[in-house]
Amino acid sequence: MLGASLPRQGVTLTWVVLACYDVAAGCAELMCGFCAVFSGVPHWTETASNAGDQAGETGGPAWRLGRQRRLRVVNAVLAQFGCRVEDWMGGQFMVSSQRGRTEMVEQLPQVWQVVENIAQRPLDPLDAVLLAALRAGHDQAAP
Amino acid sequence: MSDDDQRCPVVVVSGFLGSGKTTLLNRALKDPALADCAVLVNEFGEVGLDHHLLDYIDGNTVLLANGCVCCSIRDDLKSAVLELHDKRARGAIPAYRRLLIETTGLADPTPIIATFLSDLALRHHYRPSLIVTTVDAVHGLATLAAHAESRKQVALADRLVLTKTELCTPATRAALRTQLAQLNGAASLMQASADALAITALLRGDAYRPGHRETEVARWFAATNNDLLAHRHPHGRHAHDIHSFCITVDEALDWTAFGVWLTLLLHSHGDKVLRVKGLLHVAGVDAPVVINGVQHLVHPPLHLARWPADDHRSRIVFIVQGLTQAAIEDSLAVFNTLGAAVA
Repeated sequence: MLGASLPRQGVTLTWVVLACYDVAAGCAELMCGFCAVFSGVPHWTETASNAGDQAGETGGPAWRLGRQRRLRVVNAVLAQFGCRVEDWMGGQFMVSSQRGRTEMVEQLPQVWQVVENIAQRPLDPLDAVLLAALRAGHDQAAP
Repeated sequence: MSDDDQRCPVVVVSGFLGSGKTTLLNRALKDPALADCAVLVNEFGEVGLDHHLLDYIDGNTVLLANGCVCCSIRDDLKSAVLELHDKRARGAIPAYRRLLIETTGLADPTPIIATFLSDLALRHHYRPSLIVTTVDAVHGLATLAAHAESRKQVALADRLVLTKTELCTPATRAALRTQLAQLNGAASLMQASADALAITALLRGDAYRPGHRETEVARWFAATNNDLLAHRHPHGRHAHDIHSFCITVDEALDWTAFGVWLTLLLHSHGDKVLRVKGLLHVAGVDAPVVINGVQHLVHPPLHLARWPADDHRSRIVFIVQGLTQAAIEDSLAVFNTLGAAVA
């Protein structure tokens, strides 16, 4: 087992990586050592697969880099909705709006749900207006 | 997913009322190669199932908070499987190595898949393997036209088994095969009257079984390449709006952007994306990556050891309801460029 103590508002929560808990699925899971609650089933975008995986060991350096990179892509989308998401201790996502509303969620699909609630409009990847804005964004970024 | 995955594969046998699920199971289970199966049934039907490891699921579904039907957990199923597992551990029943679940004729198979993918206790011992759907060749066309449940069972399937083919005309059979290929171009289509050993083989292989991955993935795309799928509805779209198509992406995919894109697509349209199966050329990775999803649920991605053919472009089969191929292709292209831009 690997352990890490994470300070949060004066309370230390210990997220314990149960390295042998999901050997068959090839990924470890997080359990809060303070309240003994599992963080839930890892999302498929963050699970390791059978060989040459980019995600790396859950909680490891490659996994964290992948998570940061994923958040950069997500934030490019959320910018169109006046929101932003940050990693919170590798275990949760912190979604915040420009007006100061903040919510914590565990997985990527919940990020989309929270942003829709904040923005009061659907977040649809097939929406032509959203796609045009993203296209314009990376056209501007291009040299 | 490790190569030596020891979890028990779970095969869901679905199909409309009277389509021959139990008859198919009875035939398949006579094969000694399937002697290591346990069978769970939702209800005792008119046709009895003769098997030494037969158990019954009691019947209620728990809908998770904020969940949709496809993400609901079958609490009854979980209890039944854990009880079976416990009996096996105590030696009260033979050590089964495969679990077959026969659903009711009106059941949606997705909550079963959700239960095995999501439940922390089950997912460590069991893995969803295949959805096999039986289709009555005599009444299949009428059933598909009249019942949305039947269309969805077909759309979600990995294997389609035509039953009662000896009772219908070749023309009816051909029309049904065309309809099935339009609804689900990625499923293997076979006849129940075929060699029982062939049925057994199809029940045993899946993309998550070491040694079977390349064959199974090649099977997805073989079906989409065939002439049946090319035979489009006169109006370019299936009458019930469920249809399948395969998109091909020439450039390498940015894995991060793809994950974000698919997650967002399934969040927004998961009820309309009935199946998604893909073989991806990921930038910077030599081996192809396999993705496999059922509505909002996505199996952990796999890497194949090698490409199954010389064509190394990404190919993704979608079985959708009311979404267009052009919209999905356009959206994926934008997100793929976005991924490269923010790297």
